[in-house]
Amino acid sequence: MSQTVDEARVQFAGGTVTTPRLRSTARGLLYWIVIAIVLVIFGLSTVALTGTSQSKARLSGTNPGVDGAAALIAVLRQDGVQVYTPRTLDAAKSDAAADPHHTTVVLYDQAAVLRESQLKELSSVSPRLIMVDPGYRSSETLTPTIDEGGTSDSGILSAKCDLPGARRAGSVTGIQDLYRINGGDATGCFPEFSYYGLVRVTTAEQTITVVGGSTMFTNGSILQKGNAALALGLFGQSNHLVWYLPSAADATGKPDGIIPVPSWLTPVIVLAGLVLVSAGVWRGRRFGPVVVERMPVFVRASETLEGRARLYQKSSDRTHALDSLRIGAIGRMATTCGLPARASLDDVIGAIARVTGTSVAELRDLLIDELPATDVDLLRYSDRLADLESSVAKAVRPR
Amino acid sequence: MALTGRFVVLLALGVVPVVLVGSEWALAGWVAIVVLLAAVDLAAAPSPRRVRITRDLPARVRLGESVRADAVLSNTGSRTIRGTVRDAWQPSAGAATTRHSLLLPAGERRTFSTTLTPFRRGERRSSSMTIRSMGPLGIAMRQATIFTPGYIRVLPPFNSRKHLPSRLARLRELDGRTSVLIRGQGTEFDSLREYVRGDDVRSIDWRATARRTDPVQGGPALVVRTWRPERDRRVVVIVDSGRTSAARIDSEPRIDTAFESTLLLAALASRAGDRVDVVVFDQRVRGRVQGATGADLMSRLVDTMAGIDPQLVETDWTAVPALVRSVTAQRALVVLATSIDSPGAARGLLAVLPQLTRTHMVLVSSVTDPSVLDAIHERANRTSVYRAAAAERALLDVARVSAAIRQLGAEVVTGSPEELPPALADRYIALKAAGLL
Repeated sequence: MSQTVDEARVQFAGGTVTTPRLRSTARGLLYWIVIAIVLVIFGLSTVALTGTSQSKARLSGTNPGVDGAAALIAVLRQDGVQVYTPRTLDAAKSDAAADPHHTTVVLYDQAAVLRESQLKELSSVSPRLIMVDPGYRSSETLTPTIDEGGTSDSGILSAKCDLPGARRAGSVTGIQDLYRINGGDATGCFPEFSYYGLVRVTTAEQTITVVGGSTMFTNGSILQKGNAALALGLFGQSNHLVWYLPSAADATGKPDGIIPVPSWLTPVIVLAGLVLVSAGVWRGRRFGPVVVERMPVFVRASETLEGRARLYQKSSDRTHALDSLRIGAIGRMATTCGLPARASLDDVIGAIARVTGTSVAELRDLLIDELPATDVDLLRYSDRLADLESSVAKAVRPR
Repeated sequence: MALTGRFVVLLALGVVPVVLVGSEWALAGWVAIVVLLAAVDLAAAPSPRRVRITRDLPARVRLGESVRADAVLSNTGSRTIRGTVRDAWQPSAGAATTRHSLLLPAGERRTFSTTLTPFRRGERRSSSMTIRSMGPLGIAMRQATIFTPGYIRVLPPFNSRKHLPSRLARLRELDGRTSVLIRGQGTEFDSLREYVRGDDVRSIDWRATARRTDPVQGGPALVVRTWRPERDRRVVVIVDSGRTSAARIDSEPRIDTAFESTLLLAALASRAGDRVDVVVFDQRVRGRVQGATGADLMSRLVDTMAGIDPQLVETDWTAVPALVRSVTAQRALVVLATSIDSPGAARGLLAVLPQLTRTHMVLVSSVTDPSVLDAIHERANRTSVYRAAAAERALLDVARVSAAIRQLGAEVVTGSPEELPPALADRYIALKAAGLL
């Protein structure tokens, strides 16, 4: 008889270390590291061999894509025009200043990078300036005598003017912005009502041509209508062409209306990210393998009882429910009255009637005959059954 | 490898040089310095692989009790290891803490004690210990997991042993009693003694009286035969470990109550001189204790029961008669610790009962749910009335199954989880007193 568990103790000896060594982990990873290095080298060499000079910028002379202008630049070069493609203002100015009177400067400032002073600097060294799709700041600064006046619906307009390039082109596609001439010496082409898609403003020292659209010069659209003729007519007039697309490098100085950002902000944000990651590693590093345990299944025994009760209630099975209550109560009352388990229902009712003084008819109604029509009935019968049971118990065993 | 909080703080301190210098290079420099320090620290940390571990565990523990589990760590390296150690006990081993801070000088050993209070029966294991060894700067740690399997065996609690003394006392009362009420077919002749007032006159042994003359009074004194309860009877307990035993009543699964009653009955019956055999069965035998007596019986019982969990299968009752036959061919008290819930679920049991009752005294013990009885009297609202009706139906089902079992010649013992073990013991004593074994 072991009333108490014996105090025997058991020794277990420790075994091998299951954590892999750094060396073996590294050996396992070596294969993948080598693969990754090979892939990187392959990618870099591919880029180096196929040339990296391609640009993705719109209207770039080195962009062979749909919205590039490589085709136009190539044709101009074949025609003997010396084309420069500077990406900075300084380069553009030096290219333009080399031979100002035989040079056409094209400015396409898509992102409106250049500020007023820079625009003026550029304008001062270029007697022939063509602004492709200028923004508000550009046109306001350099051509104050014309205003932007809405957009063209179709974009397909006819020249209807005397400018040689435009007249040869006939009609072009891709005109977006229209301009109104407010005075000064200006010629308008590609009119829609009293607005023009192309305006040439002439002053004593320079001519500035404004083209209200850039699509007609792209590789994708240059062959439509007279686009190519217009392009060659505009850009092929002189021996030198400075095809200047301002880049982010031109955006110097503080932009207007923006609060200065301290230079340490970005590094601090990066540092905060690194701290967060290292805190995650600090707290999240698992202290050994996860412990697993098989748990046995245990179910609450009263689940079936609850389920059956809900089933009765859902189907409003009052008769069934009341019958159960009646059978239970009759059995208990029969025991209380000292009747055997095999006693008939009439015997039980007779005994209850004798003990409590209730009439047999009333008892028969309560215990057998009546059917509950509603839940309220069921509640009432249930209460009456409980009352009867307690009165029988009280009558048989008075305290 | 693992990082410490110091590493994070050190990295965060980089905000000072970054703001002062105000460039990405300050950030890159600081990160490089911190990473370099961590690498140096990691390289300088003593290896946790040089630790040898032995466990010193108690072989057995009773469910609900606490024990001390020791682990002896010895440092075979040449440097002091500082850091943390984790003992990977399963959750149900109830370890008070699984982590200890570690300071292990070179060549020395330390004992780390964990208090375990398991809350489930069976084998509770810890398969490994993990050691983190901190570098001299305290910003990085080396980590190694050492496979150190160890387990403790958690035995059934046998809470019902508190009922044992009173039942043993009642068992002793049976001894030496005259056959006033207890004389039956199975009682054995014990001894002769003098008649005292109150003895049944039917138990007077006239032949012995005639042979004997009272030396003091000279006259003949009446001699009565006394009887003792029969000994060396067989008790076979079949514990059902099928799916119904997985039901939990009052926070105790049925199978645990069955084990408790079995333990109490076995303790009592082995003291009374009967032989007890226990088989745990669902579709196959999960545990069997046969031919053990005395202290050996109890320790083998708890050991066998420790690892048995309910199986989610239907119990194969058709195999039970053969199982009982394999244990004993004699007449025996066969106790079936199962559940009698509904006529449908008890069909298998009812089908084989006649085979058992033909040769054996069969006792079916089942746990009843006290919450069912409570539900009957709860009739405050619509929901509770329907619940009461369902409870009445459940009781009715139990009553019908019990009646069917009695009709087949077996007896039924029911009770709540606390009441069932003593109720079964009482029934055993009553059967013994009546000489029905």
